[in-house]
Amino acid sequence: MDDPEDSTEPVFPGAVLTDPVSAAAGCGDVLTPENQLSPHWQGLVSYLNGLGSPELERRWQKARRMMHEHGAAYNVFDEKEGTARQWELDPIPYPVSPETWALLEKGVSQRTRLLTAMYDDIYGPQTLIRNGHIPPELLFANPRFLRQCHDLYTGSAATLSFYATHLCRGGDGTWQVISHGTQAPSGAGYALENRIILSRIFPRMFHAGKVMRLAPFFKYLSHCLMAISASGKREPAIVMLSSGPASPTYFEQVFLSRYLGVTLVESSDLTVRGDAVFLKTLGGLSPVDVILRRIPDMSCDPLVFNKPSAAGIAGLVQAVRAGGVAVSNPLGSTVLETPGFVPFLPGICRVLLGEEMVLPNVSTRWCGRPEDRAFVTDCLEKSMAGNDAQPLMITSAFDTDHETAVDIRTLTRGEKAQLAARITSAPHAHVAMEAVSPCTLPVWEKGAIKQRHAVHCLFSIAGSGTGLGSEVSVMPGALTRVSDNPDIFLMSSPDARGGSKDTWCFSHEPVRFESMMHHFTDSMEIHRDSDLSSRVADNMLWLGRYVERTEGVLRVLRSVLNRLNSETRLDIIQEFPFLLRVMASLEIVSSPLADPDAAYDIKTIETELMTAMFSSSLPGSLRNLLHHVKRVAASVRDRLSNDSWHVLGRMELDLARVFSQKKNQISDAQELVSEMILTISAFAGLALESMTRGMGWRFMDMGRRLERSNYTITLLQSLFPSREKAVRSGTTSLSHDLEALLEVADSTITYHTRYRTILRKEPIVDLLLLDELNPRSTGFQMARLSEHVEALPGNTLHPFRTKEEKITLDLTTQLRLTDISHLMEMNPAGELSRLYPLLKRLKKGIQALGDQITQHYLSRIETEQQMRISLDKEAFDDAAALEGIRVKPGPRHGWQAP
Amino acid sequence: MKYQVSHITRYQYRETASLSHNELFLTPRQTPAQRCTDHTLTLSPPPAAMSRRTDYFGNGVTATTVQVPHALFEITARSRVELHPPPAPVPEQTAPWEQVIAAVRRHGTPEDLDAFQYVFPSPMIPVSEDMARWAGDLFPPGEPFLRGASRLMERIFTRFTYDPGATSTTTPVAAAFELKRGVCQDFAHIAIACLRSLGLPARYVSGYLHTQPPPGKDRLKGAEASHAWFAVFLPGTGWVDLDPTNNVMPFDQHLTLAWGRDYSDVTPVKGTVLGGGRHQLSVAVDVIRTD
Repeated sequence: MDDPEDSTEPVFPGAVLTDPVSAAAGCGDVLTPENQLSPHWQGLVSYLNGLGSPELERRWQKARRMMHEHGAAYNVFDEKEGTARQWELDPIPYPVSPETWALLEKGVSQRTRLLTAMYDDIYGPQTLIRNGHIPPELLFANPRFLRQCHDLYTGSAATLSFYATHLCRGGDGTWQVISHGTQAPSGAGYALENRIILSRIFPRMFHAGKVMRLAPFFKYLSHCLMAISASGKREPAIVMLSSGPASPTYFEQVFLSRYLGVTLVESSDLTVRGDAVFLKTLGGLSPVDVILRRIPDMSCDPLVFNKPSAAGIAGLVQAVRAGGVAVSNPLGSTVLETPGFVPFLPGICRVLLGEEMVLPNVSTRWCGRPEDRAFVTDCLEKSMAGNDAQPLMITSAFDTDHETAVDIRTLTRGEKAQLAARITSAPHAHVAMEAVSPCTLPVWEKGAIKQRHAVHCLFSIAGSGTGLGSEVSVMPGALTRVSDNPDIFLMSSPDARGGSKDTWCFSHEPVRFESMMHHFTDSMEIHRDSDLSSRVADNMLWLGRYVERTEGVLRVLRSVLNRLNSETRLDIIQEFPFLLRVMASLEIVSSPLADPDAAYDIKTIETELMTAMFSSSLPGSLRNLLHHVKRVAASVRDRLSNDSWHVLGRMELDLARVFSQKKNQISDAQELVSEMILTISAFAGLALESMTRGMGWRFMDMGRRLERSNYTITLLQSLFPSREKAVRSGTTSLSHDLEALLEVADSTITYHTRYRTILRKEPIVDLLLLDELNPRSTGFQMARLSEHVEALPGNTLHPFRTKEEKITLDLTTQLRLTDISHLMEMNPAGELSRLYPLLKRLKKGIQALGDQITQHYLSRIETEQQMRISLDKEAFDDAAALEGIRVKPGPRHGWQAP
Repeated sequence: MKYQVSHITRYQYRETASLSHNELFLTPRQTPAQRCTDHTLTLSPPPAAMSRRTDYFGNGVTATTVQVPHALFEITARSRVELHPPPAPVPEQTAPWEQVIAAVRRHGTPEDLDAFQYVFPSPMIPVSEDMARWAGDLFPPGEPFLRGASRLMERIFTRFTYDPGATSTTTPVAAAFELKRGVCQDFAHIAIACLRSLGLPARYVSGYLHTQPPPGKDRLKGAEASHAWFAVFLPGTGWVDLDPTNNVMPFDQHLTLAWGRDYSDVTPVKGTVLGGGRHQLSVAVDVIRTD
């Protein structure tokens, strides 16, 4: 077995599927009429057995690592769970024969045409209810029927619909449709991710050229997105409207937007002016032509859908109506998911398409029909009487939420009676689905084959209108979900747990290779990112600030912990008061602790240190800072490299360790802090280094520079706490303080290579304040900030200097003109009368610069978020609670009787 | 009967507002009994975009965007309306309520089908057994629908107290029902909830009421507010209005703006605003008879 890839015979020891016929027997079309293993299984079985179990296990571990690196996860940022759930992919794909694929494609394609035709009728002439093909109750009583979307698309408006069709296969091999996802279905990105992973671990299977590729489907999607733009532009501006990092499928949104080459935005990035939609960017308002939405209908427009929460984009529905923007899926599409429609689909199909349904649904009865209601109540009664009754799932006729579905076999007598009463009081609001047990597929689990139930999600797109005709495309593959629980509702719900499989649709024809780079290569325009959205820029700035602030706090904590754990008595460590003063200035310990005459009680100091690290109520505590880093980083997840994201994952673990630390374990804390300094430096380094030198990078770096210059000045201010102190402190104490200062400012090595061991305050202040070659000095930060500010959008053509340019120029000049010996001269009273005012001025200037950048770039386009007041720790949290788009309550009907 | 209406809605902001999207249901409907002969809608500051369309229920709705900085936003609707009320049906002669339910369920005519949608719960009006019980005795078997509905109107009028301080636009129907207090909007919602809980079709009507000043006194200018009532469906006849706030069947003093399932379908002025801080809302309505 030197080269397993070349083997084709399943006779090796450690074969994966020793009995392929029984392993695959759960899923129909395994055997040919001649009782041979079908070709599509045969190829796979030979291949897997050729690899053998150990090799499969090795490759599967590789796949898991790759997925981890990609950050493939569900619930990337779940506050409650604390950690993301990794996406699970089974290494054994599900092979689909060419014949089966032909059937599925035909059936799903037909349903796609049917659903778009139903949309047009429901939000248009409504002939289906007028002529009795859909019972009117299913619209009139349906909260998903959004009357505000009536007649939204008139004339030749082009629309694009992206649907998901959930199917399962019965034990007899027949396919049945469970449900449709029609408003913003997720899963296609995960299917693509699965394929990418599997094609890396089983390259030979794809080189054989019989597995149909997914890329052409996404290429068509991309083409349709361009075609529905009403702007007629050659390169319309397309955005994917995300539901944000809190969404369980955020990973997929990031992944797909990158794959399709569209900008990922959130509702607050968009604004409606006139009848058009714009993206709020650093460079101003930038028009948006097409929105691929991943948010539900009801969250799209707070004005029209009567949402008091004001989430969404006010005026979007009007913009769509006026033709100013194209939104896919069309607004109101959620109504097509209505479970109550299911029994009527074959009839509607005959009326609208003149065809018989190719794929049936799982048998569904709508209790609004007397005969169906009688059947369901009869089943319930039988079951209450303890007799065998047909297994039924009762669910809302309007809601596809799996939690509302109940299996009557699992109910108590009392619950059955209650259910029967609910059905009687509103029969039209209930459907009963036959409880089916989906077929099983072999999965690879802990080095062995297990059988798991499977449902399959197929994806399709339908474009209609200008330039699109009414062509339907079905993705030749599927997201197959596997679970040991046969509940098809659970498995087809968006937040299903359990594993997934890649699905291989085999073709009789050789498959040609196609990539996604198509039109991006034929009319490539150079994109610079001054179209970075203000929200992202704001988050990048704060990411930089929080990372740097965390690093600063970690450094001083490390210095203090090192000394606490040494054998020296605290009261003879001469630099200890200085370190306490630094911590007090950073507001992580109380100020009395830093009082020159404070007695050093070890218990008090330890308690305060633990608070500085673990407290959730102290705003600047390490725990809170890390929480901010994590939160801001998650909100710009799509901008961060996978590696830096990976490092952030480690920081999450560190954070968890911080939480689990027992009290007063000072020595553990020392080790923890040292490790965290490495981790956070790695994160900052990776995040910045792997970013293009665009605006996102600039804003993150500006955040770091602002914070670092502020930190260095705080250190210098703490060094000379008061005038008297400066007088009193003899050179001996000062030299210890200076040593500690260099340590906290991470400049020890630089100093000692230059000045050997003599510690004097003039060269140290020079090194930390003025020296533009020391990356820790304020002068260095100012020089970088000047470069950034000059490169900000809109500043190049400006005939005059902008306010932020003036501030950086002023600060840089002050520093450059300073003569160090002059600066450090003491006045007759023995005070450093030139240094203090300079430090104070610098600190004020840095604050003003931060404010100005925020004001100019991040709030000038009237973002919904109020400007964030720079250095104030609370400002960040409060900002979200401040002004935003609000829904004004209308006047009420308040006529008063005279 | 001819009327001239002016309806001014004013938002005063404490800080400058920069962007405001609005949806206005301020255009009187054209119906067989009502003709709107003139209508103007003026916004200050002037809007960047303004478009009018007909909504799902046939109401005229105007969508506008104001995108200049403003501290005061004023919407003025002026309309001239003529009422030609048909003779009111005699409640005792209307069809039994059971037949009404059967007719809309059968929905043999387009009118019956349209009325069918007003049988179900809507965003602001749930149905409940409590409501059905409270109104149930008004509909004994064979009771003519309009007579039962009139008695329901009277019951609300007598058992509820008009109290603007008790409720707000967002008070749930069940809460107002519990309090037995509220304004015209609450009373109309409660009447509709009772009827729908019994399976009967009822809709919400937004409009104006012309009132006579008390003898010897002048009309107070702008003292009126917009008004709301409900309507029930009589198969073969159509919709009949009932005003539970005044216990009258509207005839020639109620002017109709719009109708829908509940207040949320026909809110006269609704909008979103960016900036502005706190705001003060004031409404002035004048209905003057001109013939």
